[in-house]
Amino acid sequence: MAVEAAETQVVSLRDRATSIATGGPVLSFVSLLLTVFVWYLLIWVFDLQPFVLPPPHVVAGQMWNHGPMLLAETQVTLLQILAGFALSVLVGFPIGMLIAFSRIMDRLLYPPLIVSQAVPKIALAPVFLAWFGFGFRTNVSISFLIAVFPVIINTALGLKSLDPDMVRLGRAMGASRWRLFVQIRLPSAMPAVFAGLKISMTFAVIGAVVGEFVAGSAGLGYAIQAATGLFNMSLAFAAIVAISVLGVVLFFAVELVERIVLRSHPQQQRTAA
Amino acid sequence: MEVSGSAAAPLLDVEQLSKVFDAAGTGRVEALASIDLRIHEGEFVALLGPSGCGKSTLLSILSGLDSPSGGTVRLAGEPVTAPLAQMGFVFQRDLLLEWRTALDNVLMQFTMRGADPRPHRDAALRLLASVGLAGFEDKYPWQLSGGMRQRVAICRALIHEPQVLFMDEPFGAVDALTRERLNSDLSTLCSEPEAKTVLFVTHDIDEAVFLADRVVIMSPRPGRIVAEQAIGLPKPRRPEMRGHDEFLHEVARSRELLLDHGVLRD
Repeated sequence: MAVEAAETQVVSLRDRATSIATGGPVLSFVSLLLTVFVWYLLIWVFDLQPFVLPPPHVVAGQMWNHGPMLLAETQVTLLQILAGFALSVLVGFPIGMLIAFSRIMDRLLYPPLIVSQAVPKIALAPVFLAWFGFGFRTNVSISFLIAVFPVIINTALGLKSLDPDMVRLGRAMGASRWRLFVQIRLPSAMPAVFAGLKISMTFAVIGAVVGEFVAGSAGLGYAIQAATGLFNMSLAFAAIVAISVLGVVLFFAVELVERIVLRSHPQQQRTAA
Repeated sequence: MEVSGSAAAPLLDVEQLSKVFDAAGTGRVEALASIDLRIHEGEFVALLGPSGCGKSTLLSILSGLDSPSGGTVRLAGEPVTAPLAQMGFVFQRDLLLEWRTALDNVLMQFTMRGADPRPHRDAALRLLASVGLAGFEDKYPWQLSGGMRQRVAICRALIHEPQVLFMDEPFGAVDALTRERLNSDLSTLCSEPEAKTVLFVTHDIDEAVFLADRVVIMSPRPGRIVAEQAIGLPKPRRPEMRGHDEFLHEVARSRELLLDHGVLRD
């Protein structure tokens, strides 16, 4: 039974590797402390005035004082981000599937998609402003336009990259195309799809904020512009911190969904994503 | 023991089978030429030959996963034109679904056919236990070693009690000792309670002789059957048989046949 013993040892080694990886939260806290420290250090070394770079405690004070206003603006931005992201998934996933399953669609859609990747889509922001006017629709459109690409590309790549031997295995088991898709192809593609969704979420945040810069009448992006316009740097930074927190929370929300959906996928796929 | 030429009608009947690959760039490649082969029910046949002799291609065609360029394949008298409905196939790589437990990977044989796997749960657990995987049913493939993974793949190919089991160099990627262990496990699995019909592709002489009732020797370019050798050792084969004179004699005979037909030397 020596073989069995050796095999069991392999298993326990892998379990140990998993437990080391859970030291994440502690390191995240340390890196946050480090950021605040470097912030103070910059102010001290370059002797920066508060109207250039306000120190962290002043920004924290501003966040406390303007809490209700920042929360209201956050809500506006959050809705735009979520709408942009949801549209990206609803539109991007089917297009990714089309590209993966139809050779004609692949030839037809893939080249223009890749070319359009080279176009800075933010340059279209003023055009959307002209089409949709100030506010929600313009900002969601910009957010969607940026966020949809990673969903399309990763869905298509994930679905296309199935091992041909897996298809043979499915045929040997008498699987229909549908069952092959549901039981093998789609689950195999999920790590790649989620990698796309995480990029898409960060892009959706960028899109919404840029929209608010260009065409905003509310939201955190608009708040930053308004505050810098009034030379209220500490308020601007308070809004920047709010956006950062929002972006991080949304990113981890996607990651949480990923962990739930891919809970039985191997560890290496989860970290590679 | 069934050997070719016996009176009973064969389960698999291959006549004048040929396969030509016509790829742009590489031109015409004759992979298989005038293959005649009869496999009887309950027979374990090993296809032995060097890589590139078309033995894997032959396996694909016999299972219906691939189609021949000429000749016919019949299963129980019926021509094979599509993947066989009741077959098990073990590939060189285990091809387990990483997100399913060992048990669910075995039961995949039913879910892929659109059948309810629940009535087969107990049978799957027994099968896993019979290959030494009791207690590992709920482990994921990434928690198992290479040898354990391939055992799960074998259980997956056997759980629905297939008419024929096709194995394409299933132990090519495991270490030599694990391979000997898996060989004897497989021999037991395929001869008890009743003898199973197995077509096993390998390029290892010892493995072919150890497992098979009949070794079919192939030579490359184009892939042809050049010799057949009946192995009369009692089944199931036990690991200690590898040291017995009878076994060593059969291995020597296999090697001679390979030499005679220019497979080991021109």
